[in-house]
Amino acid sequence: MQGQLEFHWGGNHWVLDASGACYLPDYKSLIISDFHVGKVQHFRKHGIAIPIAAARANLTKLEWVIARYNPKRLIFLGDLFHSDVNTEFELLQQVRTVHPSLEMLLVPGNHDLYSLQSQAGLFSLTPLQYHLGGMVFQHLPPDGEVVKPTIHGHWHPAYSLYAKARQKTRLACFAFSANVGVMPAFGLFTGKADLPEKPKWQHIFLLSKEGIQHLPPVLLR
Amino acid sequence: MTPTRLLQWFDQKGWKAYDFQRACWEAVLRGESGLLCAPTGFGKTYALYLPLLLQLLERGHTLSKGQLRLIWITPLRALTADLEKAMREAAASLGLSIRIETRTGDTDAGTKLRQRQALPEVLLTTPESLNLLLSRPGWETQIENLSMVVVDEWHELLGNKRGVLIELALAILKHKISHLQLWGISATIGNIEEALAVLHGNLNQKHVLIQSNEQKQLKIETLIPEAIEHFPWAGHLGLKMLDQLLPLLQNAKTTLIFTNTRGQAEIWYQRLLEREPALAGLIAIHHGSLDQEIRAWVEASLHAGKLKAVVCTSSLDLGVDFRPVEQVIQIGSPKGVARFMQRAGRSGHQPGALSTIYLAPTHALELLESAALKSAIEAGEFESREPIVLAYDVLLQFMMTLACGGGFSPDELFVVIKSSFAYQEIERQEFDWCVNFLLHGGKSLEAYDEYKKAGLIQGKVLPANKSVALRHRMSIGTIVGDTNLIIEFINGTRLGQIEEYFISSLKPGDHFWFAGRALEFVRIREMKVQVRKSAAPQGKVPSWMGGRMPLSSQLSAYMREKCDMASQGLLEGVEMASLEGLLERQAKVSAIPARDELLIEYVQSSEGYHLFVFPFEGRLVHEGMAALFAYRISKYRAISFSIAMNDYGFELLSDQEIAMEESLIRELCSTANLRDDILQSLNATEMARRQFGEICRVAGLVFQGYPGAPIRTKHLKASSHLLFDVFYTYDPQNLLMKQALDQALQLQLDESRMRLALMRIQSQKIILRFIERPTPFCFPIMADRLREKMSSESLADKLKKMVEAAVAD
Repeated sequence: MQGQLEFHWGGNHWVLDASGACYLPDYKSLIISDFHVGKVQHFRKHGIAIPIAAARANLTKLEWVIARYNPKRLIFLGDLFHSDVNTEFELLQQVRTVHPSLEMLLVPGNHDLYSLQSQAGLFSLTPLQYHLGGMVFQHLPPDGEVVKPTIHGHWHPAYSLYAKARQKTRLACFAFSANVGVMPAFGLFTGKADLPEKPKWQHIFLLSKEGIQHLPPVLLR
Repeated sequence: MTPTRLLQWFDQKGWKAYDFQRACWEAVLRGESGLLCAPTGFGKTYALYLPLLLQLLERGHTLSKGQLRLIWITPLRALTADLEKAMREAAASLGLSIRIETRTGDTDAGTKLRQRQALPEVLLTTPESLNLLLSRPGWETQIENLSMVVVDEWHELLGNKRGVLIELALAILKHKISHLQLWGISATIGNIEEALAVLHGNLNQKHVLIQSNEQKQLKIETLIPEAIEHFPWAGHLGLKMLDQLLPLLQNAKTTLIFTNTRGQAEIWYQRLLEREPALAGLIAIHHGSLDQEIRAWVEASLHAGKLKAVVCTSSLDLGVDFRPVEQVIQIGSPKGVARFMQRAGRSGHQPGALSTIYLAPTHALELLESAALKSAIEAGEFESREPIVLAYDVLLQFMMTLACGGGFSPDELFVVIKSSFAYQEIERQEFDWCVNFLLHGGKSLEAYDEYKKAGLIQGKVLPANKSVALRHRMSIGTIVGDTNLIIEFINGTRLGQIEEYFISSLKPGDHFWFAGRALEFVRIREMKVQVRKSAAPQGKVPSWMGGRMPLSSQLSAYMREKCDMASQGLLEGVEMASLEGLLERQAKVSAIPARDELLIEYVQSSEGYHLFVFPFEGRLVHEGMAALFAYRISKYRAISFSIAMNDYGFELLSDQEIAMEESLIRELCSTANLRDDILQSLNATEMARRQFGEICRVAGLVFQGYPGAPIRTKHLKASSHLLFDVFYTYDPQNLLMKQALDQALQLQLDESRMRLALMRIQSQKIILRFIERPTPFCFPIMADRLREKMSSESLADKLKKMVEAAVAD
């Protein structure tokens, strides 16, 4: 098993990373969904002592994937921020300073609404739908007819495997149907939710400590 | 002071004082503290409450009115109503005009406000409400004249974290009031001397143990299934016994039907009505998730003798005095002698009356448990309640409570804490870690940190702001479950509470059963589940987490004795005799283990290879042993198991064959490297993870939210699983993580009991049987769908196998 997998979908070439990020080499764009920066501080500010090292580790993870792909553009697919503005954003500012030429875009998500105004300058805000390579990137799943291939986040999806002898494993995943793709949550201090059965998934990529693994199609439910 | 006046009062009433009552009166009047151990229904309340009244009467003129003298703590809110009534009557009858009031979570806002201004002379309360009292600045003045604290049903609190909460509150009260008299009341338990020591802590004060000689008369009868040959081998509902049980209801004015879980109570209530529609209006249901008003109505109807039967859970275990109750039916094994005796005592509550209890099995082998239970009762073997020590989560909660209640000085508090039993061994370093955790949220000196919980002002720890204090008060307590949602009709009438995970499995329009009614799920609004009445005959029944008690070690030992006798063909008593056919079959297709034997069964099915081991040690020990076996096997080869267990044995199920031979089994049972192997096995971490949920809630790391709160509290929600992962990775040295592991090893795995069991097994002969199909012994385990897992295979290997299996299909 490996740290990344190549994949063709929506007329584009993709690199899916075991960290939960993905990279579009043709556009030198790195995409990250549901990062939830500030969650650790948000809890601490309210008297709940989440280890502060978790906040630092979250940013280290981001720095690490940037180093690995060296992108020109970094797209946050919504829920970059967890709640109100807090000091954890200074860490994000440090990333900005280290990579001054990196274009940083935020496709707004439901959590971001609280804190957007004050963060001007750190990144550019896109409309709710961002178009790239003939595809649509948005935070929430599309409702209604899907015209162009669409990538979204928001779900923090996980997929359960059932094996003989009543064994079960539940792992975060990427999932792709014919025209909709969903990304896993990139943030370390975020939960998971079961991947819905619909739309009809054609490809699922499982993330584990061992790396990323394409779910053999014969095992798709 | 002498109790003459009390004796006269008893004479007037036509009562006779028991020896233990006189002993208590004298001890209390001498100013002593202690513990009273007597069976229910013999007037324990009068033993301790009356001498206090006498003191008030005789010193009354020198004391100002309207100040707290007595705090009476009970574990259940339901108990306070009766006590309050009895106490008021006694006070009035002795010509004393004092306020006697209750303060619990159910007390209305008006009364609470009045009590905040002036507490009554006698306050009936729960451990949680007592702690709430300490969380309001000014509590020291309110307790200035307090002379006595009584902890009722101490055996129920000892052995869990609510007991620790009491120990801490008592330590601070004793610190403030040097002459405070402190009494406990306990039912019979195996470690009564220790119960006394825990209550009083390690202050060198004189305290006495008063035990009554009164014996409760008890009649125990096991209901033998009429069609024993068709009686199921597995199951926990016991509905097969319904028809046999119905006629029994005619023998008594009122019957309490105890079930082991709330879900089981709902189902039984529903089925009783279905089978006997004439019972409508004459039977009721009572469990801890029902709304207070519904429970109060049931309790009042019980008192008034209006009910023929009540289906209930442990919510009615404790000392409420329901005189019309003439008999008790226990459905399913009670799993412990003490619990069974307690429930039996719910009937014939009057002194000298006969307690009658019927035991209805839910599956065949429970008849063996009934036989074991009867022998254990005959031998007078009561379980011990092991006190909890060094619970850092409770200490953190208590510290925050005192911070909110006007602040505390760490140096002073350390001395107080050390005087309690639970924390007598605490190191200053650990104590300081806890203070630091409140002040700084762990080791955090990062410049950008915004942690806010408590601050140090002029040497006192105080809450950082009002909202932190408010959130703390809302989450005081240690009885915790999953997030609970309130269930109500659309018009707002409350029915009770339900766990979020059950509701999350429902779609609007689905039907389910709750509070004995068929309901239709409408929607969730602001932490409330809105429902309407439903006419649907079918519906889901909620299953509440927890509630599965392990077989006590006392009963386990008697179970092994019964097996030993059965192996020699000795079937004593009706229970054993009724099992003749089943035991013969077990002996024929496999074996019945004698005292010096360990039975192992191995069977192949379409699911894979099943290994069954029968130590008869209770489910907790089996869970640990199963994980240990799985881990030790997986050291030799990459393999995955799913694990199931019950009180008799455990199962390891794998898709790979395991070469079973005696030498391997001997190795698996070895006590060498036991602790390391337990810690290494995935399950130690998994179990610690499960313990961590409760620890998080007690220590205030998970906030349950409150109804109607602004949406932002949603952003403060994180599952305890997620928190565990974060702490495990980024702060493994945290004392709460250490506590989680200690709790997993001590409380859940019961490491010491497991070590004893393994040592016993080492001297046993191993009886290995390759069987063709499930035996009466292994069937109930096989049928259990709640499973643990354990794996040393990589994901890639697992996927490869799954593909092979899918292709083969």
